[in-house]
Amino acid sequence: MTRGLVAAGAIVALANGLALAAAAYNRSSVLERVELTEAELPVGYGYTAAAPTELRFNWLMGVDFRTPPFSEAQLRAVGFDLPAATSSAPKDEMPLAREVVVAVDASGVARQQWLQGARAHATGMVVPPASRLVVIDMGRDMASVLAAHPDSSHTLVLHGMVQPQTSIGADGVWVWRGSLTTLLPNAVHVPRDARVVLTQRRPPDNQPRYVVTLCVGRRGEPWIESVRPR
Amino acid sequence: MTNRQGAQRRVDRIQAFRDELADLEREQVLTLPPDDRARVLAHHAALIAVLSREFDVDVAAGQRRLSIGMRLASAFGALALGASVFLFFYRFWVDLTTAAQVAILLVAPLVGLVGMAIAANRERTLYVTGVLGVMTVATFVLDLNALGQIFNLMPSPNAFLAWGAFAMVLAYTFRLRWLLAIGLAGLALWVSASMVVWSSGPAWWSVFDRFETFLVPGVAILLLGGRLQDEEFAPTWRLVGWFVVFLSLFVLSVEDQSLLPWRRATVQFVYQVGGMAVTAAAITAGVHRQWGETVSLGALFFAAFLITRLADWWWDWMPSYLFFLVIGLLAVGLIAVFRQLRTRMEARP
Repeated sequence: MTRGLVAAGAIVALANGLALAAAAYNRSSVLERVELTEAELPVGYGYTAAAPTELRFNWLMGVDFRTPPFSEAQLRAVGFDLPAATSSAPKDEMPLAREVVVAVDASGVARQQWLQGARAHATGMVVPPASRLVVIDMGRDMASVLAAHPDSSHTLVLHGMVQPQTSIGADGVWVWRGSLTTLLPNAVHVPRDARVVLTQRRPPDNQPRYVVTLCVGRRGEPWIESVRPR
Repeated sequence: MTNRQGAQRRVDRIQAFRDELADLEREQVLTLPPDDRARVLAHHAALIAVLSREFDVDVAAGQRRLSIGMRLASAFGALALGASVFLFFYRFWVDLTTAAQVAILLVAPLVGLVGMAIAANRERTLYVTGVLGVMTVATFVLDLNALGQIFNLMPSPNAFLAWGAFAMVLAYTFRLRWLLAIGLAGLALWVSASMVVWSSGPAWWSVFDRFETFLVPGVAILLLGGRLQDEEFAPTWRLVGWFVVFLSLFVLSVEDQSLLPWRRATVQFVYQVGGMAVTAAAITAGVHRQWGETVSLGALFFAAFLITRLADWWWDWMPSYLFFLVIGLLAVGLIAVFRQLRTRMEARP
């Protein structure tokens, strides 16, 4: 029995050790440090009012509100093996979503482009989106996306799931487009000491209540460095 | 005699022998000489005493009923205990520092291991040990999940390897079949998810859209389980193996996603026919090799394949009372087939 217990204990220790080592490696170097507000990181859905434990990403799907952000060429570049989309779109199954690396603009420039495009093309009134986060690019690995978007204080490079879908192009022919279904992770854990700021009363003008300093490490995994009142 | 199941079977045979001997004597077919009778009775009494002491077997029918009650009580007790511990930590979890949370998560499965060792030393039936075992595996699952959340880690299929290996080690250390089933299921999931990752395909959790990948670990478990000489664990290996294979075929026969490069309707037809053929073959193999679990599970999935097909073909245009009448008649037909199979088995020497 002793040998079995030792083996089981070793599995527990090894698995925990690997998980903690992965977290330590990720946080050993800050690749990006971005300041976000409650608009970009609202309190997660499943929280208790007394102590929210996670903030979820609130992002816009590309600068053009009419079509998914990623082109067929981008989809093929990250490894999607897509059948040619012609005038008759594929009827059977869609390709499954893939994990890729995405660049998300946090400077507000992409949001402004989105707003201008929406005002130019939307038929009704356009309500400006609260969040500044806009998905702008994707790639197969962290290094290539980081190289393409070197502004580490205004761009987040994170993992995400991209789903190809067929869409009607400008000439009426079916084309492949890709949309981001979720960021990975889609929410960020809030350390205990930072939670008190999240529970303060919302101001009458409904402005964001807090500012979060979000870091992204070597493995593309984010964490909250600090939260302060706005 | 190396395990409780074997000991219980021997005690059951002794009890059956005694009952039959009493009937034969009453019907004046056979009467053992008093010396032989006394020797057999003494031998059996001594044997039962030894088995009872070593394996805590049920000697009388009343004891067996009580054992089932004890098992149920211990399962409910464990659930309540687990819920209590979980809710206690859930209540105070958010007030703890990250270091305290990590420490509790790491220590919880280790405490479970110690509890299992203590329980196994104090009881022969392993009821409490088994319950603690399931709870210990659950705490380990919770441990890695919570670590992933706290540090915002990317989800990895390798967690299933850790959980599966942990449950397997505990299963063989304490001889617990429930943990063996959990361990095999975890390893099957890890193999399937890893195949999805290695194929440079979609994310590993798309494994549930690629059910063909489950056929590989399912068949591997079956092959290993079919060769095992361990009469206590071999049925669990076969049960898990068949379950993985049958469930994969069933899902593939009704779902849209498949690796086969054919039209959806063709793929579904292939898996419908294949599923029914495999379940029928499993029942036949189970009857020949006297694998009770294989026959039962095969019959269950054969019925599931059949009813799904019939519902697909007839439900829309047939009145519901007629549909259920047909299902009922088919069930009667299946019973007739199984009865014939049983008669053939009885006739076999």
